[in-house]
Amino acid sequence: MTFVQQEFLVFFALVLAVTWGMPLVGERRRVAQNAALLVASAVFYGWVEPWMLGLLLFSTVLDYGVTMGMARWPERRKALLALSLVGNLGMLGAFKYLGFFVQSVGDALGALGFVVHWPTLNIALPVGISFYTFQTLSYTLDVYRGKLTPRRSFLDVALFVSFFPQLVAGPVERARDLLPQLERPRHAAPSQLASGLSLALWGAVKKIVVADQVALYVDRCFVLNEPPPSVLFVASAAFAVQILADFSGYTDIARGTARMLGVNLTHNFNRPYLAESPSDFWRRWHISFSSWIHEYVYLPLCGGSGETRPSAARRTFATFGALLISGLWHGAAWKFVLWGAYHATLLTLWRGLSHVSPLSPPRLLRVGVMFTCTVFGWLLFRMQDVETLRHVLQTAPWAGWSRAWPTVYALVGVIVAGGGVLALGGAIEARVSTIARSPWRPTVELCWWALAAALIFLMARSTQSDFLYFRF
Amino acid sequence: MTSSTSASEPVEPLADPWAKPAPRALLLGLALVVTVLGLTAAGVRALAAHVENPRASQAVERITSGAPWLIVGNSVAQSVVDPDRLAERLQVSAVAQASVDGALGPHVAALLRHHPPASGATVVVLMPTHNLLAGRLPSETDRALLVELLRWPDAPLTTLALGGAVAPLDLWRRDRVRARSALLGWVTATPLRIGAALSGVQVRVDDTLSNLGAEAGPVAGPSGPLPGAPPGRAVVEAEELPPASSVLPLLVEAAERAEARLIVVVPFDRRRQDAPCRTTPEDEAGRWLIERGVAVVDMRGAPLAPDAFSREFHLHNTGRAQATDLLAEGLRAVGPGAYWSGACGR
Repeated sequence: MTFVQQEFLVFFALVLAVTWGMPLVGERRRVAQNAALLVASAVFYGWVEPWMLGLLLFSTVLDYGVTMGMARWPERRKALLALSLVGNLGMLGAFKYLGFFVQSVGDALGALGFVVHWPTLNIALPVGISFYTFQTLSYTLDVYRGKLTPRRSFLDVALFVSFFPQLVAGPVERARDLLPQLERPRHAAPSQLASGLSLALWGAVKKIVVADQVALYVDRCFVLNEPPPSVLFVASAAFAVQILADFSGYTDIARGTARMLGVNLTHNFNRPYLAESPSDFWRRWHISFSSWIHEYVYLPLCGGSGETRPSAARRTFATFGALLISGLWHGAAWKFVLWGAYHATLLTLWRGLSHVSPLSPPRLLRVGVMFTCTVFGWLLFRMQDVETLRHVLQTAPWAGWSRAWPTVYALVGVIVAGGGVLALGGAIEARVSTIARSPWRPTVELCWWALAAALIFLMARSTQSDFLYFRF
Repeated sequence: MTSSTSASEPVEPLADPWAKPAPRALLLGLALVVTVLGLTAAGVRALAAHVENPRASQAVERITSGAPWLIVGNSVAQSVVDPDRLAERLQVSAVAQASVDGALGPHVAALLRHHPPASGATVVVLMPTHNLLAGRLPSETDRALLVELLRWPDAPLTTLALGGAVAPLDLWRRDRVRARSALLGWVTATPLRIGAALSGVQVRVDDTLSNLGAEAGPVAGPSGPLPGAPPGRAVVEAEELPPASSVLPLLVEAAERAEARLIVVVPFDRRRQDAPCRTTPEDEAGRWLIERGVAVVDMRGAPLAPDAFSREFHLHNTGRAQATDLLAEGLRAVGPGAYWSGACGR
């Protein structure tokens, strides 16, 4: 089930009614609420492919067992952690990367003259597997490091792994943030329900009114045969708008629905295209995931917890390691590896330049340069295959301009309109707190709900597209 | 610096504005809700009244242009047929491309039944068979397009395609689709017009999504898909019907009424490039058509270069010329109620 399906509205209304309508008090109410949310999460996740629930259950049971084992046999913590890593990453590898790996090795052997035909797993990628694998691993890793005490309640742990608003496309929540909220009694505050609805509607507007419309144009440009490079570059800028609207839209719906259920999820985006440097970009983009990579991949690769400054070579190694994993996390394809390597190179070069250059360009210039670099990254991310990059690099940027310019201008309109809606909405969102306690808040929120409903009604496509990050 | 309240002091919790909303705030809010929704509804109607669906109006304009040969179909026909080249190969004065991107059988039937071609014209219907035999239209866009093409109540067609007569909801959907297209068209057309003015050239602006394929040049000519691009809609999830229950009887009837000659073309198919040479159609629809005197040209298995295809049925620009030549050969050769196979040329 996805957030923009009509079924979801009925489903969520039922979940809200059950969660807040329980005639119980105290701990019994909390446990019953969590049990209801767990059942709801199972329905949400298994709606189309019930077999995928098996994988989710496997991951949950494995990490629950491992963390309980760590509490009971502290001396075997390392072995238990290895078990969790092998189990979770093995499952992820089998379902997501085995086909890619086998094909790549086969291609490499084929290039050397050895033709091989290996069987591959021809199954659909389980939705959200990358997200919940990383989320559950964070629990085990935190318990292993002693930052978190293992939880005895299987219900709470299972709900932490499968909490439906963020199950399939994040934010990747840390156990230390989400678990304590699930362990506290939760009450329905009218303001919380209202602000959750407002946020969820803003997410839906981003997805339906911006992302889905921009996708109509972007998709057409990226299936062209040998398109003019100018079209691809501008289409990549449009894709920058699309992916931000799509993914942050999902996050806002997730945060809004969770808030209506009494749970606060973490921020995932902080105006990423205003970043002034690559490291700034990664502090603003997909924050929950990039901070996960930073904590559990980058810092260990640096050889410590960040307290001692590693050598430049070690940092470069850690940067490439972390971003290559980050790229591969997004999909089993060389273009994602390339995208990760590109960002690692960008980070390393930027770091080096900032050390040697005495100049401090104005902020606008820094933002502009970083945005251009980000857009080129999105070209790598969105292109059909690596051949597209070869075509772009071998063709002069102005080639085919006489044929391309109408498309380029049309795309500029798409970028301005889509980006304008996001910017305007973002500016208003930043000021929402000023009316939080105002007696006119109901007026403003009622008006916003009507406006959002009208926009969604007007712009919804008859065939809804999935959220981009469902693919990862 | 000290704060005005210390941590140990009890703090009066601020009122939750939603816990006990002020009546005047609620009333004003509800008034605004009604205003916003009312303005949206009025805006949709007003916008829709001034905007035509260009996909539909262009097709209607061309089918009623008086051209002796007409191509009617969907994006497959647009990608396969070069109308000027076909006219040259057939040695006729003009071939009009009246295909509509995304069209299905009911749309083609609506075009022919409600906007009849000139008497004596030859109408070539070209679309994949599963598109031609599509029955009930599930998608809002498909339903809206059909409503656009209707000019009077048409019970046989609307019962087949919509499950009944055109309902007020269908009209409302049509208006919504028009309004949305108008807004999106404006988004792309405005910078395009500015760019054209700055460059001092003319450009054809459609006020539709297809502005991506806009070409610099005179304001005329068909609006095809973006050069080299397969269309966005590849899979049509519409119910496929047996020939006698599908739109085929309606198509045949419309052609007879307009005194037009009907030729149904089964398009080139990448998956069937090795199709064997056949002297009779292998499928039920083909046999049904031939029994009723309709000519069938089957391009499956025609010797088209494999790299001409961009998808199963769609061709690249580079493949279009060769495909048009092959198609012209079949169209010239086939007689009424006859079958011509591209695989063996008979």
